[in-house]
Amino acid sequence: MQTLKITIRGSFWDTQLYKDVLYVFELDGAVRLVNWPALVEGLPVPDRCRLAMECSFLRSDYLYGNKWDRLFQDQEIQALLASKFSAALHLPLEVDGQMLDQFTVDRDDSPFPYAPNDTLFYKDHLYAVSQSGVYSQFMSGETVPRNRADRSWEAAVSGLDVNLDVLALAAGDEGLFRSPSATYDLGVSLQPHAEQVSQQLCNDCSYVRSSILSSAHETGATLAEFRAPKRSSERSEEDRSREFWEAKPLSVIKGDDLFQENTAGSFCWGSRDRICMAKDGVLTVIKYLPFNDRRRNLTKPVREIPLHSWKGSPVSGDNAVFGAILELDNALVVVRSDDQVDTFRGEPVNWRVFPRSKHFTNQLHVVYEDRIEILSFNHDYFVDQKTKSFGEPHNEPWSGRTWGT
Amino acid sequence: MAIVNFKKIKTGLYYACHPHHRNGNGNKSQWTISKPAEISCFTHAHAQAWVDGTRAFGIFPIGNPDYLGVAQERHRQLFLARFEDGNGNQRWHGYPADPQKKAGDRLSEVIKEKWIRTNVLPPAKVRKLQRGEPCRL
Repeated sequence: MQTLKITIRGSFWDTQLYKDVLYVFELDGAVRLVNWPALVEGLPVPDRCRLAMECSFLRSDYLYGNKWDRLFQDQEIQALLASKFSAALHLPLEVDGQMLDQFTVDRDDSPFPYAPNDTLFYKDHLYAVSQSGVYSQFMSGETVPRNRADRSWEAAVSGLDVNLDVLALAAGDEGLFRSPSATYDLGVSLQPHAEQVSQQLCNDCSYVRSSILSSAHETGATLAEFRAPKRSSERSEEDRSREFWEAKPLSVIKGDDLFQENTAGSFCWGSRDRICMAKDGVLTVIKYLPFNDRRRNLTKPVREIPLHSWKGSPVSGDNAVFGAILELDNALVVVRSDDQVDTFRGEPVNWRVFPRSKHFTNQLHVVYEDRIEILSFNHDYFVDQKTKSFGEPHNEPWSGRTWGT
Repeated sequence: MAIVNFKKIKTGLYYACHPHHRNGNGNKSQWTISKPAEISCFTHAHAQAWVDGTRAFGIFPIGNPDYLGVAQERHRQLFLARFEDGNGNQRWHGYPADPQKKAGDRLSEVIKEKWIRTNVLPPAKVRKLQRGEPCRL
């Protein structure tokens, strides 16, 4: 089924989507909270397109799961669903400033530094990292907090990720760090702090299972391996978080040993058990094997695909359930889970996917200088989640991976 | 020890073209623009108040920036200039900044905001600089 798009006109820096609220960071320094379901339902759409709109922009989970397998095997039902998405594809889904105001819940100066390097929602807290440090702020979704966000660490940080209440922080030439999240129970006497995991240049980081992949174009990737705390009925989530925070890395593996080639000059990223590398016009995907499944190798090759040279060199990347997203100098490329490649020409201001949300896993938000394009990918419902090469499996349970709606 | 000659820009403001960034030093980024262009880059940055304490940032030429230097390992072109007033006495020097390898070479919060609001560089370029991503003109 085809990709649908809502376009919001204006000058923006970045977005977030959490618990049915669209957070829009504007270039004038404000943050705007938008009632996302009301906005989507307020778009002038004929009734025959309502199901497609709801699945595309409000409930990506509707069409996943075993319960639909029998229905989706029916060619007529597949064709009917596809026709509904096709009808929506031809609608002008445009939001101008007036309409955006109509569905805005609140708008005020951002509690974070202007134009942060990266943001992340986790357990109702919005985290932002910037040149001046790591910030967090509880967000109710109803109002923009009038106080400034708490700063937990004063260091230049360019990217972050989180797992089990432990933040991974990319601090450039200072290296890769871990820090307790704002919701981690520190006890009464401890202050938040950060601990260095690796000294190697780190401009981006992502959790791959419970390990952390650190990446920088110049020097390549490293993987700091951490063992996930075991689950048991006697252990609370807080106990597991504490064990995870107190854990030391078992090893730090060079990217060259993951990919069997030099990763310098590449961009690498990962999520769940997939690690991707874009280098010299090729996107390579490998599977990171958990400790119990290893015999000789740490990783297993999955796929390689070539990239057109006009698109340029790799800039950044991320994984979503609908595929792997790679930003190159001149285009944003989505290598879809059905092996199709979608290319969006141009240089975005920012872009973002929501692989850990419950309802928005199919969305890609791309901010350009004069608009946001909210793209919805709807092919992954029909893809075998166990065998797909690109993108995260939708139905793989993994603690801590889903924390929004 | 390299001899550093400061040139008076205006009353109370001095600038030196540091030889380490022009003599092929393998540990330093190198200017590829002329000394007068380097001084012009600094003078404009200072006049525009692209200054945050003892740090300042610039581009050259203004309005249509081009590459102004190469990275320490020489294979990457750089277009951001960083200036320092090491002793806080308005005696500045500068070098081609390498935000991909040095977090300290990225724009300070104050200058980042000024540059985005006044469109010194497109926001997409600023995002790449600040995240240490490759950023081409």
